[in-house]
Amino acid sequence: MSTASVARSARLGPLISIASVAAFVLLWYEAARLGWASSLILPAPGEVLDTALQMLNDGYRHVPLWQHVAISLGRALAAFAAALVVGIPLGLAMGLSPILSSILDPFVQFLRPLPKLALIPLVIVWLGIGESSKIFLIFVSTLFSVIVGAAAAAGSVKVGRLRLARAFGATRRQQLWYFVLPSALPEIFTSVRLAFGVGWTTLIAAEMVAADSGMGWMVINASSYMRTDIVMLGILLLGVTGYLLDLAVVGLQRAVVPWAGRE
Amino acid sequence: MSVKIAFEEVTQVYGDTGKGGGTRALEHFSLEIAERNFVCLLGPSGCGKSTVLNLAAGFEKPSGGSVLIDGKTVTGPGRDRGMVFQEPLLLPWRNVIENVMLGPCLAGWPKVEALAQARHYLRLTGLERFERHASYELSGGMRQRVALARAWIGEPPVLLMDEPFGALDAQTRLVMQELLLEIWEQTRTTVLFVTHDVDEALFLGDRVVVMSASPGRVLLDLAVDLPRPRTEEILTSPRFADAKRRCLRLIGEESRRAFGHLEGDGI
Amino acid sequence: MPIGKYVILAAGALAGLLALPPLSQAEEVPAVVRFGYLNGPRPWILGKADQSFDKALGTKVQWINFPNGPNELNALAAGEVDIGRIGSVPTVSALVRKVPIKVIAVSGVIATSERLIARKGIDSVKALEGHAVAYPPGSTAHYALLAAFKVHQVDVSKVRQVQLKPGDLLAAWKRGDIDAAYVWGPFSQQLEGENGHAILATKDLQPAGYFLFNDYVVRKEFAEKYPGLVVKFLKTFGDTVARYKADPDGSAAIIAKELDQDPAAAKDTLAGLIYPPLNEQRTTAWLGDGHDSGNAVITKSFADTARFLVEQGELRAADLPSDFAPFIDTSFLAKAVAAP
Repeated sequence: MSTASVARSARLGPLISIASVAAFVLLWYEAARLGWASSLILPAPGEVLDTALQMLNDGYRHVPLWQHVAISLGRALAAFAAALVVGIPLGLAMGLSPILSSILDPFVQFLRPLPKLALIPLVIVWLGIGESSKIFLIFVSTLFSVIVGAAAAAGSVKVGRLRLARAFGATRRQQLWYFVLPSALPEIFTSVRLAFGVGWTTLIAAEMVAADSGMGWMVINASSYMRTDIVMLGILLLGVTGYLLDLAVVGLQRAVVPWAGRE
Repeated sequence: MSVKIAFEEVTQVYGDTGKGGGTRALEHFSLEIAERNFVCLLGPSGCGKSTVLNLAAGFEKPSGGSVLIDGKTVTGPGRDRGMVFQEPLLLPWRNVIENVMLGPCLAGWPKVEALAQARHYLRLTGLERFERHASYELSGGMRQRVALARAWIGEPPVLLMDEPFGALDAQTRLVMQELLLEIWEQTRTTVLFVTHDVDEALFLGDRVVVMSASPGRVLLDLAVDLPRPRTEEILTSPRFADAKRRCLRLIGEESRRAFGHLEGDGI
Repeated sequence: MPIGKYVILAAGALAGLLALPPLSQAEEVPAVVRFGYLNGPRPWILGKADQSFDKALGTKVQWINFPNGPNELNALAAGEVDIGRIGSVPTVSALVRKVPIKVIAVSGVIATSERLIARKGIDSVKALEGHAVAYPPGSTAHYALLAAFKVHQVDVSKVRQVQLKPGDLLAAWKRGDIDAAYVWGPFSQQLEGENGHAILATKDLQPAGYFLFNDYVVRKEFAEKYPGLVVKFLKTFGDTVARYKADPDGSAAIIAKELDQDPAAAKDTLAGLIYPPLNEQRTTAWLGDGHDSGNAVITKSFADTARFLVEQGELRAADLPSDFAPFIDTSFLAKAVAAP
């Protein structure tokens, strides 16, 4: 492709995306209108919209809709913050110290792919049924991806840059602060983005633990009563919030590491 | 003039060295570089010329023999030797002037002094208008100018350059070569400059040391008697053409002599 | 050798089928009939243990387990279950949301099999104010708890209500995170074994008009295609209840073993339900006979439950049917009772 046509498709990109979403909604609308599936299985967009409007007025189960969103977001952000504070230093340390890496790697590799649903009974025993157990579930599912990403980032600093550091007589501490950490930042951002995605998917599992609000709980509770319209609304809210969260991370990445991918 | 850099019977072997194994990058490599001299190390890729540079820089330790700077054995990298690599290796999280100030920052210079010195070298390299630019927004040639200023700011007595203009287009390369000579005329630093380009070596150097490959050793040591200061015009002068012809002829003769017996062995 | 063995087995089975007298009409039989069951001990599990349903239906029965009613409800909606036992509350959710199922019989009335267990020192429902109470959401126990709050005029704002799956209750109880829970066996007995005691049973709510039960539902399409199998199912179910009544202890032991539960707890739960005889279920005291079903107790109970769930914000008023009678089909019951 020529650069001109690349530029043109970059400009068209958002328009194409909007059109594709619009086409999907139209298909959904038509599928429901023509009765391809019952409203139980596939609630019409109008029905979901009605439910959304009604909930904007009355809330769901006596909790305003925005509060469900805010509570889930709060839980996720608290867990993400904890995962970053713990995971980035630990991951970097593992990436820089082969010994530490050998000590911790078996645990990280064991825990990372573990389905977090399996932890629910243990988490209740350890932390009870309050907020801490919900946040903890999201935290653990985020943490290991952050650790693995940060470790890989620390290990991926270019040899040339380290030579440069040594040529300038940088001490070990200077090598870390002036070269290794900033070099690892773009990759850390990328892995954090992925980790947040993983953590966000744990929201439903987390809100299975004695919750009475939150988007994940909304979906679970509504499914108990076959309220597929609310389930659909909850899924849409989860998706849109997750997407906005991702956009925020990308925005932050652009602001903090504008050189990512441009060297 | 006193000897600044000396390689004495240096052997460098990579990989498993037991029982004569491993790759012999250098064997009995000896070279002396006088103070304030501009020496170009010329050779094909893989001849060990980068190894020579890395030994001088202190990135590697020789398997045998010794590398001396001012008569003292090199034990590791140090601020007395400035480095310019083939890649500019600018730190993208630092803008242009911050990149130039990297060395002073690490050495703990007072900020005012570092800034003044950085501005001086940015002026010398023609980058004064790009002080606050992001390094990744610059062209390849400009990036290498920043790298040049960054290496020079601490005014190290030795400058080690590893094919710094190898990745640039011919036009930019010429501009950079002239710039390098211009600054060097003012500072007269001892320079060890690695290249595989005969024109570049003759244009820049007081001496051109030609290396042969596997194992790397000195094939030819030529004095370049072109007058200084040198500029672009010299490249098209009969004297330059003469020097180049002589150099290529000698390289050819030496190569035939070095490899002739191998052909005789039926290889 | 193994192939020969199977051929002989298959031939034997075929001969057995041919030897059987034709039952009613020659109705086609699906390769497998899927039963949805929950973990609560019930008489029909006897039929799971000895495969009497497989024999009666003349085909393989696949028993699909669900941790709770709402999960089974989702499977019913997806058409993954043909016949299921489910609580009256999930049944109402299904009917209101137009899941294509029919209610064919009452399995058992919840009397003491579901109870409100509280810690020592909490002796009444009213005393729950200021404490945390857990319940499995969307269940009959959930409904009973909210009904109990209403009957005993509990200030709901002073009670911390905690949604927990039955399997997670014990952990929360042991940690002291909850002070009471409304739940069924074997979980109720587990809590009682950990210094809990029952302060209310579901039957205590009956005088106030709260009637909670389990019922059997069948997928509409299945019922239309295989009405004979539905009749045979009900008849066999009736047999298992009769067997249980004849030998409660022995039956409880078999059921507990089949479900891998504590026999004493299973016995307690089994005794905590009332099993209305099939021949009585076609009166207005239960499901009605199809003409008077609108006045039947079960029909009214469905309507009450639905209204309650609307009040709670779980269901939409607009979705409520004017009458639940059309969802009840006692024609299978009639044939099952009439069959020899």
